[in-house]
Parts: sequence; structure tokens; C-alpha cells
Amino acid sequence: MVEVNEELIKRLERLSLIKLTPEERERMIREVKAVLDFFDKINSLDLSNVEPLFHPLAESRSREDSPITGLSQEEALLNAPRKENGFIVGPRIYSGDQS
Amino acid sequence: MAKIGLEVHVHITSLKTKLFCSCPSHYAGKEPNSVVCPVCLGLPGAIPVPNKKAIEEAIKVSLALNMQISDKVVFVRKHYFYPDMAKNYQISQYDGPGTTPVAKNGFIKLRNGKTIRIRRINIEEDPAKIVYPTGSLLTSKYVWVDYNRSGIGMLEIVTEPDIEDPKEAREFLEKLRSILEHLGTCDCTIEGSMRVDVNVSVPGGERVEVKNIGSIKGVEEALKYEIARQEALISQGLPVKRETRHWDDVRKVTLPSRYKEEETDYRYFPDPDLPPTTITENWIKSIASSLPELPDARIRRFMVQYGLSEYDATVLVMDKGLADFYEDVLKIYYKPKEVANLLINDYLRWINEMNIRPSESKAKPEYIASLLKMMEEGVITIKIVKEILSDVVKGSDPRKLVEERGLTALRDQEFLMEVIKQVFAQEPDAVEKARRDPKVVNYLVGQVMRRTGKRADPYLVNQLVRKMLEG
Amino acid sequence: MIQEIQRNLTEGRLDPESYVEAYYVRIERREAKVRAFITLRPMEEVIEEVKRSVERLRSGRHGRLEGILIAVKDNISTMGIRTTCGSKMLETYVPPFDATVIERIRREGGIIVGKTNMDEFAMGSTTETSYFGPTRNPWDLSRTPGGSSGGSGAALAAHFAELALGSDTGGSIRSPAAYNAVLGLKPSYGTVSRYGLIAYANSLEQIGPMARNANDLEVLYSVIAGPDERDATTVSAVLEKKEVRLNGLRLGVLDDMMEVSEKPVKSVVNDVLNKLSSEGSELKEVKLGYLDYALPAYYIIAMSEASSNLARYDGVRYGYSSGEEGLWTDVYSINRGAGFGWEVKRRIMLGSFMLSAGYYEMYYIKALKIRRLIYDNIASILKSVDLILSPTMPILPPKIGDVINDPIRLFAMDVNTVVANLAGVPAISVPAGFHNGLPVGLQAIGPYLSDYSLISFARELEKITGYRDLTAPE
Repeated sequence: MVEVNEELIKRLERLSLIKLTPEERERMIREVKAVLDFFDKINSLDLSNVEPLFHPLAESRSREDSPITGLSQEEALLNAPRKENGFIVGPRIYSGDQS
Repeated sequence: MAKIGLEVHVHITSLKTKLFCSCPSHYAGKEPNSVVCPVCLGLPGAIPVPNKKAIEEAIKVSLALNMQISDKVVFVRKHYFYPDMAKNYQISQYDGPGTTPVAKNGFIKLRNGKTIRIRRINIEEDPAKIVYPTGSLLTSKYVWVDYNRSGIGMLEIVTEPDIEDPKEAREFLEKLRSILEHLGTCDCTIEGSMRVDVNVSVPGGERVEVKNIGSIKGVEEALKYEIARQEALISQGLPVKRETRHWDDVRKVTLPSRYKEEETDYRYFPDPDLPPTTITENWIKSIASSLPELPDARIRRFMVQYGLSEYDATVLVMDKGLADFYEDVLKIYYKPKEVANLLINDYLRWINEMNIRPSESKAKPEYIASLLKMMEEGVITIKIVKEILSDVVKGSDPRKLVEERGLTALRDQEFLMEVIKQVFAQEPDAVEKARRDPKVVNYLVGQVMRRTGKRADPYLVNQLVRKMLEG
Repeated sequence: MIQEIQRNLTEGRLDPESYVEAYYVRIERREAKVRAFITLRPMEEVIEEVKRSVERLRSGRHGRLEGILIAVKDNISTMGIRTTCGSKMLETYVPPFDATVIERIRREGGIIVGKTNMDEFAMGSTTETSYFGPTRNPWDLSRTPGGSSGGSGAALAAHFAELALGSDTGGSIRSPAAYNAVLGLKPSYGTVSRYGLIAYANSLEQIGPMARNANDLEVLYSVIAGPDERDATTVSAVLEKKEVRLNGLRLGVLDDMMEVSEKPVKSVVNDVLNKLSSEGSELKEVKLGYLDYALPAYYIIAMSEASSNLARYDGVRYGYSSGEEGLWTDVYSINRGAGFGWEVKRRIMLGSFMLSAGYYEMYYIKALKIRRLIYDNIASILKSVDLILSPTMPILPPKIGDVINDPIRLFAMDVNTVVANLAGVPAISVPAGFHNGLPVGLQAIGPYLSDYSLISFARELEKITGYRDLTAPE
């Protein structure tokens, strides 16, 4: 069984990019543990000869290579909280010294 | 000997639409965020549908690279957060439980017969483009994102670390590029259509990745630099640790990556919006039977049909634009060896000096034909050909140039004798030496050529100079 | 009833204003307590659209849903109408496009009256995790209306609309159908386009119709169903329209599901089963097996897919943005921490965990194997029976606040419904009866692509129970 502790939750916070408060983290540890305990029963099954069913459908649709007009720039930017000059504004990616 | 592996990302430029949506795939020069739809913008509720032609192109490339083609196309989600990611996962391919790349285990053979193995080919989508408002990554407090490029179809071609030096890497990439261009899959003259990540290690050091190199020349330079850097560290007893670097094409150095390197767990799993697509034997067969002429076959044909040497044929075919141009010239002026000679030597030299690709040259096939015809007819000399070639590459009609600048060959013996007499008068020492040393004859011939603006027939001048020396 | 309404409108027995006002009067009286809607369209706009529908009805060239008011779950994209998914993260998001099902409904003259409340991002079974507050069951305002399409179910029970759309990932249409005494169909996977459905778990979910009677359900389903070029997971197969006769119908009653259900539920369902018997249906007991493992398998798959689907919410292209400036990892963490509710955060973290290196085989792959076993078992049972029956929900509608703080109790509500999603087969919930005024639903599961047979079965059942067009008393 997996050890569910603060370290694991912090790693999951980094993996999912969700920031928790310390109280939330405490609660998350408890509840994640409870859920994983609940899932644990699947380990009592011998599934070694079973093929996983990845998807209820066996075959995908595909599409012809014909262009269709999509959204206008205005529609594309409609819901962006910050936009400039037709671009959508995103956060900084440079992690070094800003001076 | 270094150990080099390449990861080549190419845009499938033959597609009219993006990989998973019907947005037009050509966005050059368009306003930002104007060639997008809910799917490539990653809007809630938007889901991907694969472009059938993209799969066909992948199969074509796999056949040309001698790969084992999978019996189905499976797409995975590769998760990582980044401002250029519309969904914060990239739809790509992977080799794992329930997943497979479109093709595995192929190869490209180099000129010396060496085999470079290709581990896999993935079909995947390109992320959006990040622009820096201040123009620099370092000083921008935020970024500008343009999703026009988001969702463009790409192939990722990954080699085993079989390459041993920068020159081999260059040859491999030129051949790969030629194959892709002959297939029509990628017009690699389009900017940004080919990007390469290299993995390189030297004995005693760990593997270093240099990411996002935008040209074949850049790859060769980056490898040269990086190998030297690593070897220098090793020789000083310093460790070469595993890291990711990027290539600065302006300063011509590799630099440590500036971005926060988080432990990246991509959490690959088959995309539940995309069940597998079957690749049947028949589909592969029908694609195989309609493949265009590939570089190796074309080289052999050039050797047989035009009597060219393997070397000459290879130089022509390694750039499709050049090979096409060659055959276009032959349609007008059928002298295979002469045309090849001119194109491979002087013409290509100018192309390289101008740092363009042959297909970007403005010379028309009839111009080359004219040059050679004029030379054949004795209207101009080889020296004139070489002199005006650069202008022809820039788009000037050689017949016009010859007329405007008065470049016709000088064969009037009387006139030439006058010039030779002048040279002899001004170079008595050289004349003395020339009587003893035949090499100095060339110097005198050169002087005559100079005074005639290189228009004199050098062969004739040579004869006349010798006669005069004897006489 | 659709045809009746259309006839009355065409022949002038109903005029557009009073027709629409009737719904809005009911809404005005009860919505403050029920809270079925997140976004309600202005009455004047709806009246105008009905007027145009009446013109078309009178011209003889009209759509199948012409003039009918439809409530749409708020995870289905409607162009120009706010679509929130019950979340702060999308509180102000206005889609620039219609989901395919909405396009089809509009083309057939259907009129959207509002967007209904739901569990946040469809994660829940009681409509209590919504950022906008819980919806209350019109049959008993102290209780939940089921979920996650609780708003749609309540809207039908309170007759705020004639038809509704929901989505069903693990029972989210059937649960509110059962708890509101209406009908709800989770279609065969791949028969209704998901283009425009804000995804929770892609390989499990379908948009489906909800209605107050079987005929209406059939019309709505026939409009939204069908292959879509924009959804790679839709199938081209044509669905057979089959009439089902109760006499001689072979019905398998799922023993394991009856066992886990509470007494009042069992009792109401048994009454209906007896009625079916009297009509000549052959009832036999069947066992699914692996029922114990179905819930963990379902949640592992759903949470894993959800963690991936919700990665896109970062406040850049749309969605909640705290306005913070900084490195992208910090900004995203803050936006997502503040924009998502607790249930969503927990499922994302669990999902990320189970897809991560080292745990992928242990959880996700194992869950897919259990999925295979359940798929095979259902197919096998359906060889010897025509339909599989069970109570839709194992318990009566719980009181608000009762199950929401215990994740395992919440999960357990889905035990009867997740099986159909895992296998991709269609399942319908029909009103079975009442216990102390609280609705109980009967679930029927059919072979893949037997959707119209299920609806036909529902129609026959309606005839013998009389449970149709039920409105919760005020």
C-alpha cells in the first residue's frame, strides 16, 4: 500500500499545479488515504490473464484534410482575462533573476 | 568519438489542415489567434479528430525509412503545464502499455554504407507560439501567446545514438530532409518546419541534450561546440553532468537551460477521445505503390540515365530543389555532365555563400542553359560564366548581362596580341622567369585576363603568350 | 407532451405568451427554493422564439422540437449563453460555439429556457458540490434531487421545462431521473456527440435526454443522436427502432444490485416487477459478479481521465484568473487552487496520482481490466435475457448534507449505475413508484445500440404504472 503523507500530497500539488492551504492539505491527506483504501480491494483480484479495455469503441473516426473556417480573432479572445495586440497574455516563463 | 542521437521534429507541410481540427494549416503572416477553433484553442468541450492524410504521410515516411509500421495508430496524452499548451497536455505517441508509435526500427544508410538506426516515428501536434513583449525572454514580465501554430501536425523522428561526429549528423539530416522533400511530406524551406534536439556524450561524460536547433547547419555547429566543450571538461578532470542546454545561434554557443527543470512525470495514457485507428495491410500497400521516386532511386537513375558519378549524383539529389532544377535545365539543354558540373561546383558554391537553399535561387533553368550554350558557342568564356553566375542566382538573365556589360569573349588574335605586348612591356621580370618556369606563364595569362576584363579566351591567350615567349 | 403542445400552438389553442408564461410562473413560485437553474433566459426572448416557432408550425415546415422549452445542463456549450459547469472556474465563461447536440436542437426548433445546476464539473451524485449552491428536490425540498444533472431533473419535476438534457458519466442522468420521477436515458456510448460537452471522463460519459414521458424522450433522443464528424468517438451504426412487447419479454433482475439496495427501494421495485410479471414478462434472477470492484474501477478511470481533462483550466485562455503576476507554475497553482471546489481538487489529485509513473499499472491498468470483465459479463447476461433490471439508486433521495462529507458514502450511491458506463451499453431510468412521497426509479440496461428498445420498454411500462408527466406538488 502507498504511504499517504504530506510529502505525497505536496508532490501531487506540484504535479497538478493546485495550491492547497495547510488545513486543506491535512484534510486531503485523510481523504486521499480513505479513497485509496477503498480502491485497495481491486488488488485481491487475479487479473493476470485479463486484457485491459482501454475504450468502449474499437475504432476512431478520422477526418478529411479539408479546411473549415474556425473562430474569428474576436471570438478566440472573447474569454481571455488578459489580451494585448491580438495575443493572449500568459504568465512569465523565465525563472531567473528579473533584474 | 562522440555518441550522438537526434530527435527531429518536422511539420507535415503537405497537410491543408491541422492535425486534430479543420483549421487551415498555413498561418504565416496571419494576425495572431486568427487561425484557431475551439479544438486547437483548447476550449472546454472541444475534442480532437485525427486528420487521415496525416496518418498517410506518416506511413509514407515510415516506408521510406524502412520502418516496421504498427497495425494501429494510438494517440496518447503527454501532460505538462506551459503557457504554449492549449490543453496543458500534448497529443502525441508513446511506446508503453496499450500504446505504440506509428512506426519503429528503421534506418537511413549514409554514403559510406554506415547505417543510422531510427528508433521510432511519432505523430504529434505542435504547441502554440510564445512571443516576448519586450523582445527578450529575460526582461518580459509576462508572455504573449499565439495559438495559430497550436495543433499543427508534426512527425517526430528519433534515431539511436549511432552518429559519431557532427559531419555524420549533417549528412544524416540532409538525407532525411531530401527524403521528406521527395515524398512531399515536408517542404523544409518553410521557416520553422524542421527543429532538431540533439543528445550528445563523449567518453567519460554523461549525456547532454541540446534543444530546439532550427537548421541543419546549426546542428553541425552546435555539435562541434558541445563536443569541444565536453572534451575540454573531461580533459580537466571535471564532470560532464546530465543536463539540458539550448543553442544560441547568434553567439554560436550552447547555454544551460534557463527554465525551471521540474521532475517531469508526463503521465502518458491513451487519449480517451481517440480510440485506435487501424492501419491495414492494404492501406500500406496502396500507399507504397504510389510513392514518388525517392533519393536513393533517383541517385541510381542519375548515374544510369545521365552517366554521372555516384558523388555527383548524390550532391544533386541531396537537395531536391537542386535535383529538380538540374532536370529542368536538361529539358532545355541536354548536356548532363556539363550541367552537373556547373551546378555542383560554382552554382552550389554561390548558393551556400548566400546562405540560401537551391530552391530559393531566382535563377531560371533557361538561364543556366543559356550560360552553357553561350560558352559552348564561344560567345563567352568559362571565366565570364563564373563571374556572372552570382547575378544569375539573384535572378538576372545572363544573355542580357552579357549584352549590357559587353562580356563577349575576345578571340580577335590581333587585339589580344596588342594586350599581350603591353603586359610583356610592363612585366619584364615575369617574362624572363616565364621563359624558364612554365608556371609563371599562368601569371602572364592572368595579367592579360585582367586587362581584358576576363573576357579573353584563356586557352587562346595561353597559346599566344607561349608563342610570344618562344618568338 | 410534444405533439400535443405543437398541435395546440398551431391551432391557436395556446398562444405564445401564455404558453411561456405558464412555465415562468412556476419558476417564479418555486425556483427560489429549488434552485434548478444557474442561468435563466429572459422570458421575453423565449416568447419571441416561440412566436417564430409558431409561424414555422403553421407553415407546415417545422422541426421535430419546434416550440418546445428545453433545460440544458450547464456543462453543455451554448453559444452566447454562459456555461459554468457549476464551477467558479467558469463562472463568466461564454462559449463562442454550440455543442453539436445544441446545434441539432436549434435546427429542429427547440428553445433553450436556461442552463441547469449541476455538481461541479459533473463530479458528484447529489448536485451539492455546485459552486452556486445545491439544488433541492421538488418532491421534498430537504432532500437532494440526485446528480450530477440534478438541476435538469428538478426542472422537469417542477415543470420548469418540457424536456431536459443531462450528461451521464456514472449515473448522472439516471440518478436525477429516479429521484425526480422522470425518465432519463444514458445512451449507448458513441451514439450522441460529445463535441461541446465539457469533459469529465471521456470514455465513460454521454449527453442524454431527460423527459416527463417516454414519447417525448424518444423525440429528443432521435434529434440529438447520430454520428458527428467533430467527435471521433461517435459511431455510424444506425439504431434500430424496435417495438417491445412486455408479454414474453425476458427480464434479468440483477441480484447483486437488489441486495445492496435499502428496503423501501427494494419494495417499490418489487411491486413493479410483479406488475411486469402479470403482463407476461419472464423474470429471472441474474448475477453480475464483480459488482464490488465496479465502483473502484469506475472511480479510478473517471478520476484519471478527469485529472487530465481539467489540466487545461489555468486562467489564460478563459476561466478564473486571480490576476496574480509571476512564474507560470505559481500563477496556475493559485488560479486552480482558488477556482476549483474541494471535490474537484480531490479527484484531480487522485487522478494525477493514479496516472503517475509507478502507479499507472497498479491502478489505471487494473481498473481497465475490471472494466473488461464487467463488459464481458454484461454481454454474456444479455445473451440469455433481453433487458437487465435493477433499482436505479440503492437508497432513497438522501437529505441535503447527509452524504456529501463522506466520500465513500457518496461513491456508494453509484453502485448500480456505473456498470453501464463501464461497458458502454445503454441504460434508462423510469419512475417505478414512491415511498412516503419519495420517488424510486427502475433501471433497465440493454445491449449496445438497443436505445430505442429501452425507450419502447419505458413506454410499455408507463402504460401499466400510469407514471408519466408527473409534477411534484408545491
